[in-house]
Amino acid sequence: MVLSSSATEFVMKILKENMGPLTNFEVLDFLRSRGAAKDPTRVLAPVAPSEFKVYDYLVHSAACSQTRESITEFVAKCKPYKLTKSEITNIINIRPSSYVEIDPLIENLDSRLGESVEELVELVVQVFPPSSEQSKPDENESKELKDIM
Amino acid sequence: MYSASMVDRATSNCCFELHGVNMFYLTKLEHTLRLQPHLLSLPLNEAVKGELEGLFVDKVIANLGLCISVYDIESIDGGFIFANEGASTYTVKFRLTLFRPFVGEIISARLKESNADGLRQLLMPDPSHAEPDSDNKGQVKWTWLFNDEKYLIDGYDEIRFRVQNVKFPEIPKEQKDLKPFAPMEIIGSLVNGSLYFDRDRLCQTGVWAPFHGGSSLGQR
Repeated sequence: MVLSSSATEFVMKILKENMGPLTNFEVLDFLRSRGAAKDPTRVLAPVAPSEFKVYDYLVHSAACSQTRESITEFVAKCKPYKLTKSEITNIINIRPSSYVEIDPLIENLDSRLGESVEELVELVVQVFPPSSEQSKPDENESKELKDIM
Repeated sequence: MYSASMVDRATSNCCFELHGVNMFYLTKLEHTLRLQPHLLSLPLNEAVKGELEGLFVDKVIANLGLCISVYDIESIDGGFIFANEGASTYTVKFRLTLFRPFVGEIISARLKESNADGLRQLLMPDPSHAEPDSDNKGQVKWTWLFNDEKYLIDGYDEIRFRVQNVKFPEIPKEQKDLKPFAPMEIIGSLVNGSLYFDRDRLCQTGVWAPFHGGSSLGQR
C-alpha cells in the first residue's frame, strides 16, 4: 500500500471536551502575551487575523481593564451573595454597573438578593473600575428613542 | 415563538452544567498530523503549532465551537517517517481556546444585517466574527428572534441578548440558497423578565444597547 504524502490526514480525538471555562480576561491576556497589543502593523506578532478580531472585541469589553488580581478579589468578595459560577462569569465579563444591567444576569434576583443588589453592583464597580474605552449610556439618546417608541 | 422568561430559565438552567460556564473555554484534543519536509528547519514546537493553527484556528469544530487559538501544546510524540513518504508523522496533545456561548449567557453583538420582516433579524456578532469567510467553515451566523414590536435598530448598534440555543447544523451537500452556510448557529432572545416588562428601566440603561453609543466602537 502506498501512503500518500500530500495533505495531512484529519484524525482528531477529543481527550477532554471541556477543560474549563476561560473568562474574557484570560483570553485577552493570552492574546496579549502573544504580542497582540504591541504590534501596530499586525503582521509581525504571531497572531492570526481572526485572533486579532477577537482581540479587538475583547479590548473594548470590560475585560480590558481587568487583572488577575481584580478577578480573584471579586470572586472572593462576592461569596456572600451565593452566585452560581455562570452568574459570576457573566458578571465578570459584562461588568454591570447598574441594577438593570445586572438583572438579566441573575436568576430570581429579587428573592435571592433583595436589598443587597445595589451592594453587589457597588462591589462590581469598585473592583472593576471602568476604562476609558468602555462607552457609557448617553442620556440624551435614551430620551429620543423613548419618544420614538 | 415563545413568550415569558419562565421557559427561558427552565431550559437555561439545565444546560449550564452541560456546556460549561463561559463563552470561551478550553478543550483538550489529540491529533495525528504530518509535517512536510520543508518545515524541518523550524523548531519542532513551532512547526507543529503552525500546522495545528492552520487546521483549527477560525474553524468550527462540530459540537464544540469555533476555535479561536491554540492555547498550548502538552506533548508531541512520534517523528516516524513511513515508507514512501518524506513527511514525518506526529501525535500531538494540545489545548484549544474555543468559543461557544452557553445557553443563558448574555452576549453583546453588533447588528450587521437585518431582514425586514420584523420578527427575525440576522445578526453578525461582535467584530471578532464580522467578516464572512469564503471558506465555509470559518463563519458564524447569529439569528435573533424577537416577538415584541419593532425596535429601532440601526446600522452598527450593539445589542445584548440571551443565548437561547446553539446549533451545529450538518454541512449540506449542496449550497441550497444564496446565504453562506453557517456551521454554528447561535439563537438568542431579548425576551426575559426585566427586558420585556419594564421598558422604562430598559431605556435608561446599557442593557438596551443603542443607548450605549455602540457607534463609538467604530464601523467594521
